[in-house]
Amino acid sequence: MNWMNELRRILGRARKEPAMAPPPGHVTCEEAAERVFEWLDGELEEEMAARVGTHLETCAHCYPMLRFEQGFREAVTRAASGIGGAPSDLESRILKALDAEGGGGSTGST
Amino acid sequence: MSNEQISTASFTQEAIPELDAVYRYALRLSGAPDEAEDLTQETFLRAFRSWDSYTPGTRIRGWLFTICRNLFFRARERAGRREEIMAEATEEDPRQVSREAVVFMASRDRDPEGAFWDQVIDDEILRAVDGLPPEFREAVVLSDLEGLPYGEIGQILGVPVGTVKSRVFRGRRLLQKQLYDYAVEAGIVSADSTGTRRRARGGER
Repeated sequence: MNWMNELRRILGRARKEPAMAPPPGHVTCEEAAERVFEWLDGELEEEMAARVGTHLETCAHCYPMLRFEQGFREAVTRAASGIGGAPSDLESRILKALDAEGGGGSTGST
Repeated sequence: MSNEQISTASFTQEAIPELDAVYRYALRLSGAPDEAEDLTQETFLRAFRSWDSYTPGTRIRGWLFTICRNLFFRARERAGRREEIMAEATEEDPRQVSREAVVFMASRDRDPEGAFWDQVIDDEILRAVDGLPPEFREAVVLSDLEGLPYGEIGQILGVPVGTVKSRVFRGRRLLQKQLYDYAVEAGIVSADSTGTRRRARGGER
Protein backbone atom coordinates (compact mmCIF):
# COMPACT_ATOMS: atom_id res chain seq x y z
CA MET A 1 0.00 0.00 0.00
CA ASN A 2 1.47 3.23 -1.15
CA TRP A 3 -0.01 5.54 1.45
CA MET A 4 1.40 3.32 4.22
CA ASN A 5 4.88 3.68 2.83
CA GLU A 6 4.38 7.39 2.47
CA LEU A 7 3.30 7.62 6.10
CA ARG A 8 6.30 5.60 7.22
CA ARG A 9 8.58 7.86 5.25
CA ILE A 10 7.12 11.00 6.84
CA LEU A 11 7.17 9.55 10.34
CA GLY A 12 10.70 8.34 9.84
CA ARG A 13 11.85 11.76 8.78
CA ALA A 14 10.11 13.45 11.69
CA ARG A 15 11.78 11.08 14.09
CA LYS A 16 15.19 11.62 12.62
CA GLU A 17 15.07 15.39 12.57
CA PRO A 18 16.07 16.08 16.17
CA ALA A 19 19.13 13.90 15.74
CA MET A 20 20.26 16.10 12.89
CA ALA A 21 20.47 19.15 15.16
CA PRO A 22 22.47 18.04 18.18
CA PRO A 23 21.29 19.31 21.58
CA PRO A 24 23.17 22.29 23.05
CA GLY A 25 26.55 21.24 24.38
CA HIS A 26 26.00 17.77 22.88
CA VAL A 27 24.32 16.80 26.12
CA THR A 28 20.69 15.70 26.33
CA CYS A 29 18.24 17.44 28.63
CA GLU A 30 18.14 14.34 30.84
CA GLU A 31 21.92 14.30 31.23
CA ALA A 32 21.99 18.02 31.95
CA ALA A 33 19.29 17.66 34.61
CA GLU A 34 21.16 14.79 36.19
CA ARG A 35 24.37 16.77 36.41
CA VAL A 36 23.03 20.17 37.37
CA PHE A 37 24.10 19.89 41.02
CA GLU A 38 27.57 18.65 40.12
CA TRP A 39 27.87 21.52 37.69
CA LEU A 40 26.76 24.09 40.27
CA ASP A 41 29.11 22.56 42.84
CA GLY A 42 32.04 22.77 40.44
CA GLU A 43 32.57 19.03 40.64
CA LEU A 44 32.63 18.18 36.93
CA GLU A 45 35.84 17.88 35.02
CA GLU A 46 36.56 20.70 32.64
CA GLU A 47 35.26 19.28 29.37
CA MET A 48 32.04 17.91 30.84
CA ALA A 49 31.51 21.12 32.82
CA ALA A 50 31.75 23.17 29.63
CA ARG A 51 29.27 20.95 27.81
CA VAL A 52 26.76 20.81 30.64
CA GLY A 53 27.14 24.54 31.20
CA THR A 54 26.50 25.30 27.55
CA HIS A 55 23.42 23.15 27.61
CA LEU A 56 21.95 24.57 30.82
CA GLU A 57 22.51 28.15 29.79
CA THR A 58 21.26 27.88 26.23
CA CYS A 59 18.50 25.25 26.30
CA ALA A 60 15.10 26.91 26.56
CA HIS A 61 13.71 23.86 28.33
CA CYS A 62 16.50 23.54 30.91
CA TYR A 63 17.29 27.17 31.67
CA PRO A 64 14.37 27.71 34.11
CA MET A 65 15.47 24.57 35.95
CA LEU A 66 18.99 25.98 36.23
CA ARG A 67 17.63 29.27 37.61
CA PHE A 68 15.48 27.36 40.07
CA GLU A 69 18.43 25.33 41.41
CA GLN A 70 20.65 28.41 41.53
CA GLY A 71 17.99 30.29 43.49
CA PHE A 72 17.74 27.43 45.96
CA ARG A 73 21.48 27.18 46.41
CA GLU A 74 21.88 30.92 46.86
CA ALA A 75 19.14 30.93 49.49
CA VAL A 76 20.91 28.19 51.48
CA THR A 77 24.28 29.93 51.16
CA ARG A 78 22.70 33.17 52.30
CA ALA A 79 21.17 31.43 55.32
CA ALA A 80 24.53 29.82 56.13
CA SER A 81 26.35 33.13 56.01
CA GLY A 82 24.03 34.42 58.70
CA ILE A 83 25.19 31.83 61.22
CA GLY A 84 27.42 33.61 63.69
CA GLY A 85 30.88 32.38 64.62
CA ALA A 86 32.11 31.18 67.98
CA PRO A 87 31.42 33.30 71.07
CA SER A 88 34.19 35.85 71.61
CA ASP A 89 35.58 34.27 74.76
CA LEU A 90 35.87 30.76 73.35
CA GLU A 91 39.21 31.39 71.66
CA SER A 92 40.86 32.64 74.85
CA ARG A 93 39.43 29.71 76.79
CA ILE A 94 40.83 27.25 74.27
CA LEU A 95 44.23 28.97 74.21
CA LYS A 96 44.35 28.83 77.99
CA ALA A 97 43.51 25.14 77.94
CA LEU A 98 46.22 24.54 75.32
CA ASP A 99 48.73 26.41 77.47
CA ALA A 100 47.89 24.27 80.44
CA GLU A 101 48.27 21.20 78.31
CA GLY A 102 51.57 22.22 76.70
CA GLY A 103 53.08 23.66 79.87
CA GLY A 104 52.21 20.64 81.98
CA GLY A 105 53.96 18.42 79.48
CA SER A 106 51.36 15.77 80.13
CA THR A 107 50.81 13.05 77.57
CA GLY A 108 47.14 13.82 77.75
CA SER A 109 45.71 10.37 78.03
CA THR A 110 42.21 9.60 76.74
CA MET B 1 62.43 27.25 71.34
CA SER B 2 61.55 23.79 72.52
CA ASN B 3 59.74 21.38 70.26
CA GLU B 4 56.69 21.83 72.37
CA GLN B 5 56.71 25.57 71.84
CA ILE B 6 57.15 25.11 68.12
CA SER B 7 54.23 22.76 67.89
CA THR B 8 52.05 25.07 69.98
CA ALA B 9 52.94 27.96 67.69
CA SER B 10 52.19 26.08 64.49
CA PHE B 11 48.97 24.73 65.93
CA THR B 12 47.84 28.17 66.99
CA GLN B 13 48.72 29.54 63.59
CA GLU B 14 47.02 26.87 61.51
CA ALA B 15 44.16 25.50 63.57
CA ILE B 16 42.85 28.48 65.54
CA PRO B 17 41.72 30.41 62.42
CA GLU B 18 39.27 27.52 61.87
CA LEU B 19 37.58 28.17 65.21
CA ASP B 20 34.44 29.76 63.77
CA ALA B 21 33.99 27.01 61.20
CA VAL B 22 34.43 24.27 63.80
CA TYR B 23 32.02 26.00 66.15
CA ARG B 24 29.39 26.34 63.42
CA TYR B 25 29.79 22.68 62.54
CA ALA B 26 29.56 21.68 66.21
CA LEU B 27 26.43 23.81 66.53
CA ARG B 28 24.76 22.04 63.62
CA LEU B 29 25.75 18.63 65.01
CA SER B 30 24.57 19.25 68.55
CA GLY B 31 21.85 21.83 68.03
CA ALA B 32 22.71 23.55 71.33
CA PRO B 33 25.15 26.47 71.80
CA ASP B 34 26.45 25.24 75.19
CA GLU B 35 27.17 21.80 73.87
CA ALA B 36 28.71 23.28 70.72
CA GLU B 37 31.16 25.32 72.80
CA ASP B 38 32.25 22.32 74.83
CA LEU B 39 32.51 20.21 71.72
CA THR B 40 34.58 22.87 69.97
CA GLN B 41 36.96 23.19 72.90
CA GLU B 42 37.33 19.44 73.14
CA THR B 43 37.96 19.25 69.40
CA PHE B 44 40.84 21.70 69.61
CA LEU B 45 42.36 19.96 72.63
CA ARG B 46 42.12 16.61 70.90
CA ALA B 47 43.53 18.08 67.70
CA PHE B 48 46.42 19.60 69.65
CA ARG B 49 47.30 16.24 71.18
CA SER B 50 47.26 14.62 67.75
CA TRP B 51 49.01 17.49 66.03
CA ASP B 52 51.86 15.12 65.12
CA SER B 53 49.51 13.10 62.96
CA TYR B 54 48.38 16.09 60.96
CA THR B 55 50.21 16.55 57.65
CA PRO B 56 51.05 20.24 57.25
CA GLY B 57 49.50 21.82 54.21
CA THR B 58 46.65 19.34 53.90
CA ARG B 59 43.13 20.50 54.50
CA ILE B 60 42.92 21.38 58.13
CA ARG B 61 39.22 22.13 58.21
CA GLY B 62 38.25 18.64 57.17
CA TRP B 63 40.70 17.18 59.67
CA LEU B 64 39.19 19.22 62.51
CA PHE B 65 35.65 18.37 61.39
CA THR B 66 36.49 14.68 61.48
CA ILE B 67 37.73 14.98 65.05
CA CYS B 68 34.70 17.03 66.01
CA ARG B 69 32.31 14.53 64.49
CA ASN B 70 33.98 11.55 66.14
CA LEU B 71 33.83 13.23 69.53
CA PHE B 72 30.20 14.10 69.05
CA PHE B 73 29.09 10.60 68.13
CA ARG B 74 31.22 8.98 70.82
CA ALA B 75 29.65 11.24 73.44
CA ARG B 76 26.19 10.41 72.17
CA GLU B 77 26.93 6.72 72.29
CA ARG B 78 28.22 6.99 75.82
CA ALA B 79 25.04 8.78 76.79
CA GLY B 80 23.14 5.77 75.50
CA ARG B 81 21.67 7.61 72.61
CA ARG B 82 22.93 5.21 70.03
CA GLU B 83 19.56 3.59 69.47
CA GLU B 84 18.00 6.96 69.08
CA ILE B 85 20.57 8.04 66.53
CA MET B 86 20.17 4.84 64.56
CA ALA B 87 16.39 5.08 64.72
CA GLU B 88 16.50 8.62 63.43
CA ALA B 89 18.85 7.58 60.68
CA THR B 90 16.48 4.99 59.32
CA GLU B 91 13.31 7.06 59.46
CA GLU B 92 13.79 8.13 55.85
CA ASP B 93 14.84 5.36 53.55
CA PRO B 94 17.42 6.96 51.24
CA ARG B 95 16.27 4.84 48.33
CA GLN B 96 12.77 6.24 48.72
CA VAL B 97 13.91 9.83 48.48
CA SER B 98 13.72 11.00 44.92
CA ARG B 99 16.65 12.54 43.13
CA GLU B 100 14.17 14.19 40.78
CA ALA B 101 13.43 17.88 40.97
CA VAL B 102 9.88 17.32 42.21
CA VAL B 103 9.47 20.80 43.64
CA PHE B 104 10.63 22.40 40.43
CA MET B 105 8.13 20.35 38.52
CA ALA B 106 5.36 21.22 40.98
CA SER B 107 6.00 24.96 40.93
CA ARG B 108 7.16 25.58 37.38
CA ASP B 109 3.80 26.78 36.10
CA ARG B 110 3.48 29.50 38.70
CA ASP B 111 7.09 30.36 39.39
CA PRO B 112 9.19 28.85 36.61
CA GLU B 113 12.56 30.10 37.83
CA GLY B 114 11.99 29.63 41.53
CA ALA B 115 11.85 33.32 42.42
CA PHE B 116 10.19 32.32 45.69
CA TRP B 117 13.55 31.13 47.09
CA ASP B 118 14.48 34.77 47.63
CA GLN B 119 11.63 35.15 50.07
CA VAL B 120 12.23 32.11 52.22
CA ILE B 121 13.73 33.44 55.44
CA ASP B 122 17.12 32.27 56.70
CA ASP B 123 15.82 30.84 59.98
CA GLU B 124 13.33 28.71 58.13
CA ILE B 125 16.09 27.33 55.93
CA LEU B 126 18.32 26.46 58.88
CA ARG B 127 15.40 24.91 60.74
CA ALA B 128 14.64 22.77 57.71
CA VAL B 129 18.30 21.69 57.46
CA ASP B 130 18.28 20.74 61.15
CA GLY B 131 15.11 18.75 60.57
CA LEU B 132 16.60 16.55 57.84
CA PRO B 133 17.30 12.90 58.67
CA PRO B 134 20.89 12.75 60.03
CA GLU B 135 22.65 11.19 57.08
CA PHE B 136 21.19 13.76 54.70
CA ARG B 137 21.68 16.58 57.17
CA GLU B 138 25.38 15.86 57.54
CA ALA B 139 25.94 15.83 53.79
CA VAL B 140 23.95 19.03 53.22
CA VAL B 141 25.65 20.84 56.13
CA LEU B 142 29.12 19.99 54.83
CA SER B 143 28.38 20.78 51.21
CA ASP B 144 25.96 23.69 51.36
CA LEU B 145 26.65 25.34 54.69
CA GLU B 146 30.40 24.74 54.79
CA GLY B 147 31.04 24.59 51.06
CA LEU B 148 33.31 21.53 51.14
CA PRO B 149 33.98 19.50 47.98
CA TYR B 150 32.50 15.99 47.70
CA GLY B 151 35.89 14.33 48.17
CA GLU B 152 36.53 15.99 51.49
CA ILE B 153 33.01 15.26 52.69
CA GLY B 154 33.63 11.62 51.86
CA GLN B 155 36.75 11.62 54.01
CA ILE B 156 34.96 13.17 56.96
CA LEU B 157 31.98 10.83 56.74
CA GLY B 158 34.06 7.82 55.79
CA VAL B 159 32.01 7.03 52.69
CA PRO B 160 32.80 6.94 48.95
CA VAL B 161 32.20 10.00 46.77
CA GLY B 162 29.26 8.30 45.06
CA THR B 163 27.53 8.02 48.42
CA VAL B 164 28.28 11.65 49.18
CA LYS B 165 26.67 12.69 45.91
CA SER B 166 23.61 10.59 46.54
CA ARG B 167 23.17 12.02 50.04
CA VAL B 168 23.80 15.61 48.99
CA PHE B 169 21.38 15.39 46.06
CA ARG B 170 18.63 13.62 47.95
CA GLY B 171 19.18 15.83 51.00
CA ARG B 172 18.68 18.89 48.81
CA ARG B 173 15.50 17.46 47.34
CA LEU B 174 14.10 16.82 50.82
CA LEU B 175 15.10 20.32 51.85
CA GLN B 176 13.41 21.79 48.79
CA LYS B 177 10.24 19.89 49.57
CA GLN B 178 10.29 21.12 53.16
CA LEU B 179 10.86 24.73 52.15
CA TYR B 180 8.31 24.61 49.38
CA ASP B 181 5.65 23.37 51.80
CA TYR B 182 6.61 26.22 54.10
CA ALA B 183 6.42 28.73 51.22
CA VAL B 184 2.96 27.52 50.29
CA GLU B 185 1.82 27.70 53.89
CA ALA B 186 3.26 31.18 54.32
CA GLY B 187 1.54 32.32 51.14
CA ILE B 188 4.81 33.01 49.33
CA VAL B 189 3.68 30.73 46.52
CA SER B 190 0.08 29.90 45.82
CA ALA B 191 -0.95 26.34 46.46
CA ASP B 192 -3.18 25.91 43.43
CA SER B 193 -2.00 25.92 39.87
CA THR B 194 -4.31 28.77 38.85
CA GLY B 195 -1.78 30.97 40.59
CA THR B 196 -3.35 33.94 42.32
CA ARG B 197 0.15 35.27 42.79
CA ARG B 198 1.92 34.65 39.58
CA ARG B 199 5.34 35.69 40.78
CA ALA B 200 6.69 35.40 44.27
CA ARG B 201 9.13 38.26 43.83
CA GLY B 202 7.77 41.63 44.90
CA GLY B 203 4.69 40.05 46.38
CA GLU B 204 2.82 41.40 49.38
CA ARG B 205 5.20 43.79 51.02
